[in-house]
Amino acid sequence: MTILSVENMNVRFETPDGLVQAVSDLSFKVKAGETLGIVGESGSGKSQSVFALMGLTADNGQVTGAANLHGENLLSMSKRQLNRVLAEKIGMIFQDPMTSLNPFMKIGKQLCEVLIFHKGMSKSQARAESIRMLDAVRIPSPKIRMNQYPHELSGGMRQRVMIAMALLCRPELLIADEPTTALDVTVQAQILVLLRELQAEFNTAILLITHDMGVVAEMCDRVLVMYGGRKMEEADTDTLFESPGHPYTQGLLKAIPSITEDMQRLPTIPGNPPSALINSKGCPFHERCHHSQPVCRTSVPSVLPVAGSQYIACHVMGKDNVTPLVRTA
Amino acid sequence: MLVTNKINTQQLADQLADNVEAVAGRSLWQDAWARFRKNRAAMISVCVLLFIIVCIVIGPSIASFSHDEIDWNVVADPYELGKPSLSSGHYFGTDDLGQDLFARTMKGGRLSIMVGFMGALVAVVIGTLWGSISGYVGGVVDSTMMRIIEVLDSVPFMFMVILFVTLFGNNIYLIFIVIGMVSWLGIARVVRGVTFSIKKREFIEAAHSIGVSKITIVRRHVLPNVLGIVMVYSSLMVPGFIMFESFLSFLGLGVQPPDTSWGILIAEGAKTIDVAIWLLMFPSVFLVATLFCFNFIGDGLRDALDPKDR
Amino acid sequence: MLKEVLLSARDLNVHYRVGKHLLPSRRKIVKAVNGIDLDIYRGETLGIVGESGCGKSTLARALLRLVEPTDGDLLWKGENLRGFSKLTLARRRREFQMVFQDPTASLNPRLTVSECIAEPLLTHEPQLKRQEVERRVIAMMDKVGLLANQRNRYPHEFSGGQCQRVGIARALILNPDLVVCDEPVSALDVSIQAQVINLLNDLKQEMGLTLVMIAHDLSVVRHISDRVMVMYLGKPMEVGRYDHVFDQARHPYTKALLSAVPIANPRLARNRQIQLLPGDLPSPLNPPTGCVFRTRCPEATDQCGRQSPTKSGNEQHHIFCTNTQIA
Repeated sequence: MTILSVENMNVRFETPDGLVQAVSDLSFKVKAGETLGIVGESGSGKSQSVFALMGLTADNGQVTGAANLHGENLLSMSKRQLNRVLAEKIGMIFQDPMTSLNPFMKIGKQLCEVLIFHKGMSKSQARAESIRMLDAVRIPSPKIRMNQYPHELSGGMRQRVMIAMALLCRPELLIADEPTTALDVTVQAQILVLLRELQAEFNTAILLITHDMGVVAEMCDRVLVMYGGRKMEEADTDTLFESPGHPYTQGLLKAIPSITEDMQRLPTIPGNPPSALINSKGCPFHERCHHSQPVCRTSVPSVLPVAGSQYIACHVMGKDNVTPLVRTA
Repeated sequence: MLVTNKINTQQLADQLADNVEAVAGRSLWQDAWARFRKNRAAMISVCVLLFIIVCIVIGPSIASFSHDEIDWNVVADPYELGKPSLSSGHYFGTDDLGQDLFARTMKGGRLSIMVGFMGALVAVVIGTLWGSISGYVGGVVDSTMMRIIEVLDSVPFMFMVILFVTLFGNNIYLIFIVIGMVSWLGIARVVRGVTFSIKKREFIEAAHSIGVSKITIVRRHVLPNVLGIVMVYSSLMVPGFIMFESFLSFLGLGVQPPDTSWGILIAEGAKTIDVAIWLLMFPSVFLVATLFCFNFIGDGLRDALDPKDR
Repeated sequence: MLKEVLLSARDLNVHYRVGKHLLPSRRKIVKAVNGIDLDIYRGETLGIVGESGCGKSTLARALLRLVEPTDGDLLWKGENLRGFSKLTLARRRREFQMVFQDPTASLNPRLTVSECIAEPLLTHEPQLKRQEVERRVIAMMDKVGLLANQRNRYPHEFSGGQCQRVGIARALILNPDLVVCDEPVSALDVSIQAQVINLLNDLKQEMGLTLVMIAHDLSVVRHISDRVMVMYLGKPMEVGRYDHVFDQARHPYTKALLSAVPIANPRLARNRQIQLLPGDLPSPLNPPTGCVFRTRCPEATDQCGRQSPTKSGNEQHHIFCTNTQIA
């Protein structure tokens, strides 16, 4: 069952230097209980697309398209309606926990307020539920933590509190924007394991935004690769890593150094990421692409299926051209 | 793979060929100037201010009378005969002594604007040096330098002025000295704060790791990055000094007749507001216009130089 | 073959006093770097890994005396580095340079990139003529893969990867012996990261550099290093050849660290065992007694709280662990 379906979303910004197209014609679906990863490098539009979903686009931005959550279009709602839907049906986790925690309020109070306001619970009910949730995110001695302020906790603990807060209303969808980027690897591992366990427990779908292919491989069922504001490839995780279809995905996967094997020289993607200002007519990746053809410069490739559930947006890599990527050992 | 390599070498060769012609970059200053130029209020203010400055520079020489010359023709009834008129040569009218207001306004403007610029200049030079050294060196030096500022700042200022005036008599230089004494305190504090934050930036550490001397780091890396804030701050300070001089003159503590300033002219005009409104009107228009201009320019500079805008 | 030791540190300590107590002696002490012994051989790449707060960046700066060590010895080419006067130190800095983490923040936004790159030349060889400076800047830009006609542009007109190339060019223009890179690629995107790593490797070969790579990304360190040191709370945990440390890790911390790294391969990722470390990093104000890692160590015994770890193993690969079963 599809819970969120985004169709032809565009995000534009009016800046003093000109019009910036951050996201172009993005469409995707999130099914109940699955984890969809959106990967991309900085400037790929991955964060802006979820900001648009959450109504967090900056004032000079303009969002068009549709994002249907159970038939309600998130993008055309009033601010008040959107906030209600977000609070009750969508949980959010950010890279920096302090963006959703109030530094001047005790953790317990922040958690209880959400429940009292959105679930109409009594104070004691809310308190009991909050403690249960802190326990669920494996915070030791939750009763003591209830009376602490966010700054008294470590980074990993704060991230757990934020996850607890996101899950309080038992949302169907959890949007996690780079949830572990600011954390050390050992803490990251803790949080990723926790997220997987909680997903099984609460049957929540997760929309995971990340730049780390490792995190994607660990967490996601399906992956959407973005570049220059556009969807380049969408596939289930195994397919994407074993036979990436788009030249960009291929290049990206090859460029990651391995922790278990020696590599002579890292294969690279030449050039630099495109500037958001230069709005080329063609494929955003054509300047850096080994397979670039004249047509890539003049028209934007549409997203087409190549095999089963794998979709790519490329003029050159058609159905017959997908070559399995052999990792250089 | 081979094909792309060829393209790359070809491109490289092309680019090496026109190596001599390096592409000009756009510095942050150029960016800021471009943004400033788009700010209509600020650009109009610059034009108006330039006009006023041109006026006060050439004004006294095109006036039909000098500023301290008494026109005996109008002395008999200055409020009737001394009305502003083009035919009599008193474009702005005369005061009750028969002195030409146009010449006096221009002459007074010179003093007022000079006080403003002098104050800003002293403030910028002393304040920037003091603040950047204090902020960059830090430690005991910083504490000492900041305490000195606090001591100077806690001196009751008006009291000092009155004391000076009674001791040394009324003197234009006294005003310069007094303004110079206090004007740099605020800017030194601001510069110190900014320097403190710049000091923590990585490019300062990079310069240090290269082995660049401290003085060069301050000159080459700290000061250019402080300058933007200094410009904004000082342009917003100029009207303050002009006001301050006017205020002192209004109280009779500033310049003495026959020398004049906008403050004095306004003070005199205020006394005859019911019979000779022009005596108040002309100097006030000039003063207010100048103050507005400086404020708009300061705001424009701030918007243009504010890195958050990018 | 006897390798030349370029820089060696003996019992290096960097302690900070924190807090606001009136008496400096009463302020609490953070031991950011706590008794590190280290030899850096000419021509090698030494990787230093650890999580945030382990003191790796402070160590990097202490090695170059950008942070004054509290205690211990530093020998640079056999000379006492800590004994250098301020003037000598400034003059000798041309022999050891640094590349910084944040490529845009490490360049002065008011200078053009050629002025940035030329700064070491102007500082150490002020007698050079302008044309000569320009010629060498252009040559250096070409070496790091920047187009020379871009030299009059400003850092904000470049992407992060290009800015890091400028930073590298600046560090290398004086032909230093040692370059310390503090997280040189952690602020860059994956595709750009690979370019910069390759560039550093190429330049190392070409110019005979010695590199110290500080990083938290273990796969980057594996890829670029000859030897690796793993740090935790200001102390070394495991030191050795990269293949020994990564493939035959012996210290419990290294093992946990390696198992925590997400692998970009879903099939492998599903089947692997993650060694989760319990709890958080202890406060550096109040580190555990004995072995600093014992509070989170799966192999900790009572002994670990009482006795500081000793070095065991050979020069190729040694660990610091109290537990005799491991050591």
